[in-house]
Amino acid sequence: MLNIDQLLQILSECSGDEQALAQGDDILDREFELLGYDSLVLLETSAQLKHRYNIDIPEDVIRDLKTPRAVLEYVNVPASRN
Amino acid sequence: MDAPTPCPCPPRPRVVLTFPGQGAQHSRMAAGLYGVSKSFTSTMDHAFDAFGPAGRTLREGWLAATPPTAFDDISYAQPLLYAVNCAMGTMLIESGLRPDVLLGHSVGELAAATLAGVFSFDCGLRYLSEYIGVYQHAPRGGMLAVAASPREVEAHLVPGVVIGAVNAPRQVLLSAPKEALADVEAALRGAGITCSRARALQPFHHPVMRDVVTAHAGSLTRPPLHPPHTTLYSAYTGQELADELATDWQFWTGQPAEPVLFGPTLEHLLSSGPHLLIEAGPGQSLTALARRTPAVARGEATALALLPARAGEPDADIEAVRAALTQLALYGCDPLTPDF
Repeated sequence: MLNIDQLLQILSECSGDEQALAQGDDILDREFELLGYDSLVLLETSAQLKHRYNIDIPEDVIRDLKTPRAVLEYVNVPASRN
Repeated sequence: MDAPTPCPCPPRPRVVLTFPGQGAQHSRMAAGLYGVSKSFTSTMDHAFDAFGPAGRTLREGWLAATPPTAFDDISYAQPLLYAVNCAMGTMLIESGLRPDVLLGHSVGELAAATLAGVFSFDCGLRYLSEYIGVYQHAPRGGMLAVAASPREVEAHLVPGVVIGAVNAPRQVLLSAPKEALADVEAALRGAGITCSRARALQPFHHPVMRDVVTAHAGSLTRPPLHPPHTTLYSAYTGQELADELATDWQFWTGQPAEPVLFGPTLEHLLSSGPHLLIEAGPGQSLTALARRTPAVARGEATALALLPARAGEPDADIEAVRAALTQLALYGCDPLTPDF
């Protein structure tokens, strides 16, 4: 399981955007594109999820996950993967 | 007569046009505007004519569904980026937009300077033509985007590798000739640091370029330059460009050997009050960088891109531009009258 705080911690570290954490739950459905999280930030997020929590999100998959909620669902609800 | 009602709206943000550089090029970038916007089309056609016989090759390469293998080479990428950036900026200005500030990344700075009147478009096109002739002598190599701070990266640098660009607190671009680039990529990956090759085939913003330009500078013509009529920020100096430097050819010809400090420059610019950033070139790389700045997170600045993030359906360009123009009005821009 991955919770939103763990994910936001990683996202804010990877993007260098400390404000991301402060946005709390509001951030769940914000699109990565609108947060400025480009492909390099998402690749780094994928690497950190693997490193810290042994969670595997292949690079080509994380590029297609548009929001923090989509990442949480991918990790926590295996049935959501198709 | 009644006293004027105080305007409840916040101060109008300064409008900043941003122009991306090498790495932002992609197959058919902005081509959806070609033949649709009269202004965009005539700027592009003017560029292709000015490039002479090379112009035809550039046009074909730009419009091809599958780009030529050399598309990321300086000979294709840089003249096309320059032309597309200038054509997008000109289209906006002819629609009625009045930018307060112009800022480009790498070769994007030449487009910013052109729209600021430092170069005429013809002078810029001629410089690009000559510049390609000079830098075809550059060693093969490239650039590597790294998800780390400059300080973290420094510990892993190997001889021949330099920081070519600082894009954000945790995004730098390394530049190196071919072998050294492969070595540093292996070292970084070995240390668990995320990196990704940028679309470049030469080591831009690397001191090796100084030798190239010194050896071949004789082939560059240097017509007089003009002080900018619109505020021009330089990602090489990190601040507003003074007239003296803007009109000094050495400043421009030295740029391919100097690091691009886009991230710090953007933060410095945004610290001076509310801003509306509009990326007027292919992709959304600069918009992504801007959206991660504290100023945008605090709501003091807004960043939007005119074009889609990547190549898409034929109508995607025009739809993206229309949507962006609608948004601009919401952010306090005067209504624009595009020519399509």
